[in-house]
Amino acid sequence: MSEHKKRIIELLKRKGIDPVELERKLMAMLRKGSLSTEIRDYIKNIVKGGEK
Amino acid sequence: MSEVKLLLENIGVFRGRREFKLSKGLNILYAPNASGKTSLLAGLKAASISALTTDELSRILNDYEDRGRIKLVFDDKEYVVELIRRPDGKVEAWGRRLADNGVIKDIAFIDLENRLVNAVYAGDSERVRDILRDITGITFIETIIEVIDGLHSETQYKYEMEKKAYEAKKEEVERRIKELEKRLKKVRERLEEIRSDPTLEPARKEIEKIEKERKKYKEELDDVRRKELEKRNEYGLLDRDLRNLEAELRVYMKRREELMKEKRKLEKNLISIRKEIETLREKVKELKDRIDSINSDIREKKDLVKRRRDVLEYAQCPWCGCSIDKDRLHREIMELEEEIEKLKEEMIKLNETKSEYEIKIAELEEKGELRLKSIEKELDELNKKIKNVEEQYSSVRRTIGELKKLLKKLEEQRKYLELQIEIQEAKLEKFKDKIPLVSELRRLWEEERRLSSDRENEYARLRQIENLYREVKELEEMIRTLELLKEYFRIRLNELKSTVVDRINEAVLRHFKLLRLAELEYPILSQDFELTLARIGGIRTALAELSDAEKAILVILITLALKDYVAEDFPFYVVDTLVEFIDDTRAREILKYLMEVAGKNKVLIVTKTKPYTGEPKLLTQEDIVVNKVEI
Repeated sequence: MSEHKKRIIELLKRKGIDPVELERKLMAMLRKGSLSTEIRDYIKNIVKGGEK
Repeated sequence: MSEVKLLLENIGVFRGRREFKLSKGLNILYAPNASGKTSLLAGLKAASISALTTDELSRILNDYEDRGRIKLVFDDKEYVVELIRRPDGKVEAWGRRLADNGVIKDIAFIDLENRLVNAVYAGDSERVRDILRDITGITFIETIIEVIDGLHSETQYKYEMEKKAYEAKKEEVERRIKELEKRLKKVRERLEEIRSDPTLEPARKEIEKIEKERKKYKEELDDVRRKELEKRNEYGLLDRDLRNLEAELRVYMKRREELMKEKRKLEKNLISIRKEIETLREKVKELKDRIDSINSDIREKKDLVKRRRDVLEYAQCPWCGCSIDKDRLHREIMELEEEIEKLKEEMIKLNETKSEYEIKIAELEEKGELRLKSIEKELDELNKKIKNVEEQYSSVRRTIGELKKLLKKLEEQRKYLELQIEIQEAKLEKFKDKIPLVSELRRLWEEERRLSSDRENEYARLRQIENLYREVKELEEMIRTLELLKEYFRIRLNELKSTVVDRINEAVLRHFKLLRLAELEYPILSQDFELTLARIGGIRTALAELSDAEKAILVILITLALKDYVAEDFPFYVVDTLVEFIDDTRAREILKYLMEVAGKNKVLIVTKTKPYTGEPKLLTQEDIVVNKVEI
């Protein structure tokens, strides 16, 4: 893993977001046919400090 | 050897029930055209994946039947799928499938319905590229980046608007403070001038005493006023919190009321639902008993048929020695077989009814006990939330009450101090006629007091505006987080692109034999997901220029490589019809290769057409050749 990526993950984790877990969740949602609007709401909630 | 059982009922060309066994390793379905090879694979597909369209399901169900059933038994687990034709002709399916991943259809069922097969045969490189990006998840990451981009622009816009509003308000207040301070400075300078004026001499001592007192009260007043403003701010924020908590509480209460209402209604109906389930269970049991009895009848009758067939070859009965009436025996066998057929038909109908009842039971359970449990769970969570909000609400109310008391006290103090200052100022009255400057002094004192108070108020406004700044800061923070997320997914996209391409190309290299059979060079997938095809010797070629056989080999190669990468654990890999496009020598090599790939854990199935012998016949177990390439 590149240093840059490690740093990004670290910064996101400090904000309470695990990007790897988020990626897994979003990919699963998309594979099951979720719409972009659902993805948008999910990300917005996460960024606002909602469900992690 | 481990086996896979596949029971098909009214699937494809098969009417009624058929049972097939597939083995781990390579299974070649070797039968003439229209014998049901594709039907068997369609059944397997429907039991394996849920992502099938209504059109695909319509093709799977037998054209003359309205209901169908597939049962897949694999690794001691059963997967049952029911198909039903609705009055509008659409076919629906339900039941438990082996996988829930839509990608499986593209990489494990290589038939003429497969979109990758169609794109390769159409020679459409762009479509092939798009499908490969879909299968590997690249398109999904791009969608995520697009969504984050949209959110980023939206938040950025909101941030800029709020920042502008904040800055405008702040600028206005700061300008006002500056003006007030400027005026205050002038007033104080003038006061200083007056203080050193010789005309004030006769009353100087007394005026200085009054001023000292006034200054003391003034300092106290400033302090009280500052505290009062701070507490008023605090009060405003708490009041807002209180209103939010009230609103939250109202939502929870309403939901609780709705759930309670539903629960009461459900509890009222529960007895009848339970009764209905019980009745249905009894009916299922009766049906099961009847099916068992029919089964034993069939067995008995089959036994009778067998015994009659056994003695057919003899001139005399080997047991009792009496002569054999072959015509009579044939008649009896025919009658028995007819009876068996009737019993089987009856059993199919009974099984259908049994399935219907079982589905109804599941639906009723879903509507009754299960719903009740889920309501109770939700109510439990809701009660906890309500308790929590109520606690917060009372704590905020308590603090507000205390603040109110404090504010009242501060107000009283302020009024008292203002009065004291006014008294001190009034003391100057007696010098007014003797010394003309005293009137100006008094006016300036008053102005100084007013300006100081205004300045304090403006500072309080500034602090309020700083709260607005907190919201601007939150938006700024959101923008930063979205930027980080965008960067993370951008890195992942690049990583994924190169990893996917590398891993697929590695897999392609592992299946090098196939590459050679298609007379192509390695590598075939470039970083931007383009298929870069080159003939042995390095001469570039295009998808459209490949022969049908080469296209078939290429599709098998790519899907095997993709399956290695995306769904290695999925146990089936099916190639329908494509081997027909390949000449015998290369087809044999491919089959050998697939047998190697299958090993002992995977189930690979390939169809191959047997020359027509003039006898129309449906596929049977004997037509499935296991782990043998020479047919």
